[in-house]
Amino acid sequence: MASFETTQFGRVEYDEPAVVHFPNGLPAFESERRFLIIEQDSTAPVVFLQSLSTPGLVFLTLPVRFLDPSYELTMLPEDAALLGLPPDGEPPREGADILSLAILTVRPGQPVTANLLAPVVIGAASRRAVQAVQPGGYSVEQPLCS
Amino acid sequence: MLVIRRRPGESVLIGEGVEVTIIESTPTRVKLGIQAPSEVAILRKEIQLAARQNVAAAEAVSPAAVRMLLDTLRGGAGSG
Repeated sequence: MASFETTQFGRVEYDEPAVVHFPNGLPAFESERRFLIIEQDSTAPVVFLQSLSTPGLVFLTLPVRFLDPSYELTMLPEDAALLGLPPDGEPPREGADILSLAILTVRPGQPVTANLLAPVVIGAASRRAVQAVQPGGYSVEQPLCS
Repeated sequence: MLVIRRRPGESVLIGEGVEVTIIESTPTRVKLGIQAPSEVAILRKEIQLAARQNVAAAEAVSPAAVRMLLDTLRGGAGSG
């Protein structure tokens, strides 16, 4: 078991198979390749995406399905390949084949917003992930309550 | 905004050294070829939006932000 000192959670311990790999990083964070998913009973249903390179870098996320049960994810063929999904197969099943997380922006005095334009999509089997920019229609700053 | 009609195989020139060629056109998308000096950044706009939002999201995280988020979620606000 490995461990990593984080700003938000103190020292976290993890097994290597639990690490989520972003082969291309994330836009603006291209060198951040390894993240840990942290879920706590006290903060459910929030899913934390903690960098394993930068102690202070953590994203607050919520499952896309929680935010919008009718969300229609579009995967580019190259993104699907990156996640290890079959190229011509059925659309990946949320929860079984993939987990889609919307990154949240929480600023004092402003509504919490979710990035539904570019959800983080994690391959369940490969543990590889990509921030999959959607072709159109979804907002980069969708307010949680309106 | 300047609007120009072009066919596949035709190009437009922008400033010194930037050439945008229409390679293929379908009813739903166009394929562009772009030749530009290496110092000119070329980015799909959605990627830039995502990059800015990622920076804003990462900067805002703090224990207070987590509390604020949980208050929002438990205040009965689910989907947007």
